Amino acid sequence: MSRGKRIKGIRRDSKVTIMVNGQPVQAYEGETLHAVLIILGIWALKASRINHDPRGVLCGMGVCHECLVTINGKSGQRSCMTLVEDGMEVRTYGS
Amino acid sequence: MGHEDPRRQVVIIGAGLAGLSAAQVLAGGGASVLLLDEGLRPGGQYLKRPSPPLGDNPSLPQEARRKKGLEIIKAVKSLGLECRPCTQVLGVEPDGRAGWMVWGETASGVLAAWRSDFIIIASGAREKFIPFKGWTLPGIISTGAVQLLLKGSGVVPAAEVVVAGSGPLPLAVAGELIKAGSRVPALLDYGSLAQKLAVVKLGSLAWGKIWEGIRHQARLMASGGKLRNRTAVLEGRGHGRLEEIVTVQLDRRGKPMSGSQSVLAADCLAIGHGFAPNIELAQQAGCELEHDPLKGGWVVRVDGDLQTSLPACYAAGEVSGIAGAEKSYIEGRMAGLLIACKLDLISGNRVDSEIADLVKRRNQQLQLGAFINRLCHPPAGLGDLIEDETIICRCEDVTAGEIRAQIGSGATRLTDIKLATRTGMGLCQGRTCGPMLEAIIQTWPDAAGPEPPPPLPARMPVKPFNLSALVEMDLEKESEYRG
Repeated sequence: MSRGKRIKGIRRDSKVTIMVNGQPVQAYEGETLHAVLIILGIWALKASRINHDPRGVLCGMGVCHECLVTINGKSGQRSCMTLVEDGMEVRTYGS
Repeated sequence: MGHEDPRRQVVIIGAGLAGLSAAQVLAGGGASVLLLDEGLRPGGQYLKRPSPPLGDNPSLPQEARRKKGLEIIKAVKSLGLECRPCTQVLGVEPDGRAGWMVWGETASGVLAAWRSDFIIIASGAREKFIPFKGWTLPGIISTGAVQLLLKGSGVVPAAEVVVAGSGPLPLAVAGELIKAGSRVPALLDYGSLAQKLAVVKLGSLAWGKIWEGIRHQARLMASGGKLRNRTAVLEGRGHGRLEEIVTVQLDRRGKPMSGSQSVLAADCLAIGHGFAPNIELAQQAGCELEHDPLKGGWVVRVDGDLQTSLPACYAAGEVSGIAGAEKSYIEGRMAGLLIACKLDLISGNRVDSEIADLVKRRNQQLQLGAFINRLCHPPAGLGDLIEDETIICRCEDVTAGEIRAQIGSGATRLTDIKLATRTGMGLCQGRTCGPMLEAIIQTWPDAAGPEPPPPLPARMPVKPFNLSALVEMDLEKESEYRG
């Protein structure tokens, strides 16, 4: 399973901890949520409406709505348009 | 709607390069300007950069245009201009006898309306795709999304990424991925080498782009990646996520060649086939559109002064034709200067020579754009590449087979297909499938003719928003807003 990687040589200082499907995960302030999920190797983010097939990031710019996740109990949030915040609780496909 | 805002002289929708350069001119001239943008920060896609405290990505090419763009952001900030990021514009409507009312959901989730004498629609563009069986599998991501991950979060999507598509972006993304530490085992270009080499006909206009392309290609070759021209993706396979892809070679006319299929292991595939303008807001406002394949398909029609068909409504940047960052900058500046003249902030004869220069440069960029948009045209064999099981409308899980059944029984308009199948009725409101539907209809063997089918209609709200925003709206005040 492929995972995203943080590019070396980019300054990252303020660490935050977010909960992804009940597990604590470390990330850095300024990162978008979809980037952090890709780093974790979590590609399946939502279920399609009719067939309930797994879907993940496509456009990465707020258009396609394929990267929707549940954030702090609120469903249908675009992970590509959301910055991580300390204590954020995230649920993805099948969790 | 919690608050009534003062009327501005200009509301600019979209804080990309076009919106920013318009804002710089107008605010610099003393106009009251409000800049609205959906993104986390002003800059749009081209000037995307990390949100503080994340540092910038030194491995990205710092082309001159990008540097200048970032300076505009600084300049606009120092002018004290009012900019509202994280704001979803939902629609615009005429405000009484003159001017406009722009509706949007604010960053705090409240429905708001802003009035202005002029509006500039600078809503940018989105990526286009050529779908294939299995393209909805997680792990398949757009080339633009990869670039935004690199620029915005300093992240590569995988250790190994296969890149496929048309036009210059796939090559650029492959080069940037390699520079950032990923491996790109293969770059599949749907176009032919001859098509790309025709770029030399553009002469000095394209030198910068050619040089950039050569460097990316050298990087790909040096890293052991293979460039395969006239090669398309026929299928993505995997259990719950991408595991392998099936590729096929295209003949000179762009049709898949039998027996040329091969299987390639891939758990991350970046795809993209050029751009389509985000016309929906202008369309909802009632602006006339025009169809020009050399501008990226359906675009907002503007006159030589960048005015749309509606009074006091301008369009700048990709929304009136795909041609890249330089055109967006030029048009933003033009629209800003021309509106500043109308507001009597500057005198017309002081800007005449600059406008003439901008017009000349704009025409050059349109030529460059026409070349790039031509590279991104769907291949003639599109019908054979999209098998019936292929999902076209990702939001509503509608397949190419279901859509073809409608076309076969006489549907010629996108609206007919939408009503019969729910294609384009989902959360993205047809933004992803619309351009594909158009291509499927046009490549249908019994296609009605060369006339392109009209785009799906756009109504307010043009993007989904939270119903809770309505709760915050003071309905009694609504009559005042409609003044």
